[in-house]
Amino acid sequence: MIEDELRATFARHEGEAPDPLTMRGRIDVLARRRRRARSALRLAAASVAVALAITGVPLVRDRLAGSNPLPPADPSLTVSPQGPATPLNLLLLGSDPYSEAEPGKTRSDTVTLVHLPADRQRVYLISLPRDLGVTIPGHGLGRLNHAFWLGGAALRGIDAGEVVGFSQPTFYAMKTAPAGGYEALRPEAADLFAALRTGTLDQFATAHPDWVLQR
Amino acid sequence: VTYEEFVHTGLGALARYAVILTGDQHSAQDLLQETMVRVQLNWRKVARAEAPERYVRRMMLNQYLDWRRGSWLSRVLLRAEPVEPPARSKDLADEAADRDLVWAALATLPRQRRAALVLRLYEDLPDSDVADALGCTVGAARGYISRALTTLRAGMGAEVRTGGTR
Repeated sequence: MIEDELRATFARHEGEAPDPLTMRGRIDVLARRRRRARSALRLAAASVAVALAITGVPLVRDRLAGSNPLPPADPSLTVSPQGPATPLNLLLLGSDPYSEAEPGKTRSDTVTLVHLPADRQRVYLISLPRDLGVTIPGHGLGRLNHAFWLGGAALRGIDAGEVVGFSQPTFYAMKTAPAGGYEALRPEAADLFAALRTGTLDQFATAHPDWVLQR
Repeated sequence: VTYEEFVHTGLGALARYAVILTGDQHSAQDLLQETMVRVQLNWRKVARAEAPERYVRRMMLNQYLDWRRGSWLSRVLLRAEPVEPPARSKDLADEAADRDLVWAALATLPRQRRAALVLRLYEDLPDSDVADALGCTVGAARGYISRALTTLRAGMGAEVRTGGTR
């Protein structure tokens, strides 16, 4: 009887249930966070809430010229204006405040990989935990957000293939909001947002070739 | 009942329910976490329910069925196949392989049908309660169950004919 087999299967796999003790802690942390977010939302006027939501995924491009300069864009790497032929991967980074002790250094606390399939029918956002253990070339095992501190734009040297393979041209964006506030987002960042939402990233890439880098 | 007491006595059973519904540990964690956060944030409402435990199970079921509706982008769960096959002794090898086939075949079912099976065979609910939980007619609930069983039988038959996978 298949019903009996099913019952036996269910009973056997009950053992794979998540550990209640561990889960309890995680539930409490998440509930606290959400409660806080909820009361914050109540306090804020609607417009402020919208602004906060936008800065939640900070996208303003890195302008720093110190120890972690952006490599110059190679025109051959830009997305073809003729149209989508290859999948595109973008790496969106949001930094924490710049270090005062070591100017120009910052960690990437928000790391989101955006993947656009060649047909551009969908946008996949893959959020990588900033505490993810990765191999940082020349430094050994470290946390993902620390890799940016150590390597800056050379973060691209990290073997991201361990997480999600990406070998296609990669966008690279970075928040430069000064510590203590989000100030105005750079207009290009708003454009990038719009392009993500409307699926017109190719046009965006054509208009901002310096945003497109290759891994 | 306070939330603390409820969690203390009930979380283990809910964790098991989550893994039976979703079929894997990671999704079970997500489902349990999401449900329990909502329970905690709306505890007064939950506590007012006639049977809080049953109420929370229903919340979890709805959460499972609604999983992909809530967001403007669909989530893609990145995860590998089961990390390691469960250990089995020689004598039980065939039985264990069959059971894993059932478990694997369950994963191919649409959510509604899987949920119907779980309610019927894991929760041991009568058809009328299954229908109530799924928000459909009794006839439809029976249909889910019988189609799920048919799929499982067919799927397992194919596996056996090709010599099985494990």
